[in-house]
Amino acid sequence: MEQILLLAGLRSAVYALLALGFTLLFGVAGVLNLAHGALLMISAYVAFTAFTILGLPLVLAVILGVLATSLVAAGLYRSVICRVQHSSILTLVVTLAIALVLQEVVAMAFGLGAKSLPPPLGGVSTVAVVRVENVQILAFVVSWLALGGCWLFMERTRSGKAIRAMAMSGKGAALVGIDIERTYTATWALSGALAGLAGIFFSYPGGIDPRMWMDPLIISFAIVILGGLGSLPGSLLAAHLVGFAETFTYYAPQVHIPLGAPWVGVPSLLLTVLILLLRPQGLLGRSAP
Amino acid sequence: MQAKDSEGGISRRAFLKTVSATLGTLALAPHFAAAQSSALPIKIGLLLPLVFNLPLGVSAQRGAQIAEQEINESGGILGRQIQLIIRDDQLDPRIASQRFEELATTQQCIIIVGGFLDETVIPLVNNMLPRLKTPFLNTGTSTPETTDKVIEDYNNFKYYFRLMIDSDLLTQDTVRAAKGLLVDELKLKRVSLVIEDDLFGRDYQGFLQEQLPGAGLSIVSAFRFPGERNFDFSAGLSQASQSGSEAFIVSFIRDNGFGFVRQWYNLGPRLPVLGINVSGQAFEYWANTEGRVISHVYADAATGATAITDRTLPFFQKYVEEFKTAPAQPLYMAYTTYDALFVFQQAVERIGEPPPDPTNASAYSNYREELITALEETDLVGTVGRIRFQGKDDPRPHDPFTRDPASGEVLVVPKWVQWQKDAAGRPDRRVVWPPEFKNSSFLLPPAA
Repeated sequence: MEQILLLAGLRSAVYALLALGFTLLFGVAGVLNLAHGALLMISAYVAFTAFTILGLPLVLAVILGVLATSLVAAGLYRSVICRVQHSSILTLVVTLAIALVLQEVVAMAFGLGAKSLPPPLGGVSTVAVVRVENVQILAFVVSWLALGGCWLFMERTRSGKAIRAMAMSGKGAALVGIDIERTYTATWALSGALAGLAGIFFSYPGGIDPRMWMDPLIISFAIVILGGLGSLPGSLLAAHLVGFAETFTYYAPQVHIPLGAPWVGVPSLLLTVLILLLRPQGLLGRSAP
Repeated sequence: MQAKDSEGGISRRAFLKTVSATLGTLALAPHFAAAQSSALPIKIGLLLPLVFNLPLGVSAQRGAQIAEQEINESGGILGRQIQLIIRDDQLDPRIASQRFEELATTQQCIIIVGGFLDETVIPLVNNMLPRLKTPFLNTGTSTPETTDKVIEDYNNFKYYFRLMIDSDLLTQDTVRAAKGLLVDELKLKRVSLVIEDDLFGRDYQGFLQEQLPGAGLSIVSAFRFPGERNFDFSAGLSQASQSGSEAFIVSFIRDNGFGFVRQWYNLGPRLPVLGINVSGQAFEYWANTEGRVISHVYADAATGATAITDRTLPFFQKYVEEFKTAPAQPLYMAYTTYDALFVFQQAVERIGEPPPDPTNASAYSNYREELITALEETDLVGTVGRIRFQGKDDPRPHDPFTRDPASGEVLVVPKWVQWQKDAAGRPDRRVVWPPEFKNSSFLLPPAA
């Protein structure tokens, strides 16, 4: 049981990090960014290039990956999304198209074969009699630091307050002199950086390949629907629900429950369907007036 | 004075000269055509997954190019050069069938070599072969379904040959290798399965559950996981540890296996690993897993460290000297595709004359039929073993014999290759099973 609880906690923190950028964009700009998973991929490939091809130190490669993803996200907003975000359907279609284009670009540049990025931290530790890879502990710590940092940024900084104001009312924010375009760009950059960070941890242990974006996108989508579109606390709660549900599913055969790894994606999707039926606004989302 | 008999103003002599020249030309035309035909290269279609430089497809193409170069440098086939016409199947069933048809008809290739994914090859065999009646030497697919078609309807599907071992045989050989290595050599009794949840994986697991107890191994845990997902194997590893497992038998077909290999090494238990890992055959796998694949044993067609036949190492050397980019060492399809071209060469030499001019449709089609008979008589020492196709009345027609039915001599069998380090600490791949090709004993995983 210790193992299940510990691994579920570790997994959930990364899922929260993954979903945060996704829900932030919806909360502020009303954009369901289907290219979110592809941003994770960009980060992983930039870090891979910097480390394996350019020979930079791994930490620097990881930082470059995160920065590059933030820049790509902001660039996407300024070049494409700002022109289509007035239509939610168009935005969905365009962001999906962007994801597919990015996949093809990466496939052309690196091929379809999987590559690997070494974990930012090697070794194994024993936590409460459970052997855990240090990279998982690092992912947990970094995720919570990023979540905390993000909260501080939103609460304590002018830019963060501007983002929150935009989330409440775009028109109101404009009336009090907030630069809307700048705030949107900053939100995309922040969302990209969070996705980039998640991308580094998602590339371990299974490596990176041009199709790696789909799975994180599905997980993010399930989390934000479950938590309530645009609700940051809701996403945090839902990330833990999904993380724990997945981990219990993995370990179910050990307590003689006929589930197991092949069923791992099912609980989160079931929860999503249930929440859509019973509480469409999500666990902590606000219902439409 | 010139006689002018015709009204058109041409003299009779000039007229006769013109007629003679025309008739002469017409009479000689077939010979000119034949001369021209003998100067033309024999076209061989190559249908491979090359989309986004898929390593397996790239490796197979390189294998074919080496064979083309060797055949042409030694004077061609019965004096005719060969020419590869290469097409990418893009891993798409529809495109694979279209490209096959184009190679067989528009490009008039006498034979087509290649085919990788079951999902592309099965519809191609079902829909194209009965209509196009073009010999197809499959060098990359292991589904038994295609050979089943040859059994069911020989006349329509006799055009299908395979240089690979099918998945049924591969599964049976896993049990043999597990008995030889895990039971007889290491004296182990309990294994855990780690199986990717796909069609092959399910069949594989079913067969292992049925056969391993008879070989002296009990399955104490089975961990099936969905492929194509960045997967955490810690649950499967702890399950194996808690159930007292002594070894792993694995299957990774689409999944790259990185996750299992890294977590097996980092978290343990570091038990011996044996099984199927398609990505794990590539030389780059060592770097991709930071060397954590050490001691894993995976089935393969051949390896550069082992002279399966006299042709294995020269081919391997040529490949690594000529191609410096990934895949830097030949993958299984490079060996089988290289061999396929020599199988074709032998068949043409057995017929005794090269393919006719493709514009003579009936002669060309008759020649393709003759090729089938000649291919059925194949007896070629290739890089992966001695290749002899099973006949119409054998259990798996047009698949290679694994052993000679009369003498029991090993012909084409999977080789179980272990990731090791050489004396200089560089990655090395050595055959540890079967005994006929073994060049190293099984090395235990490094202690945690």
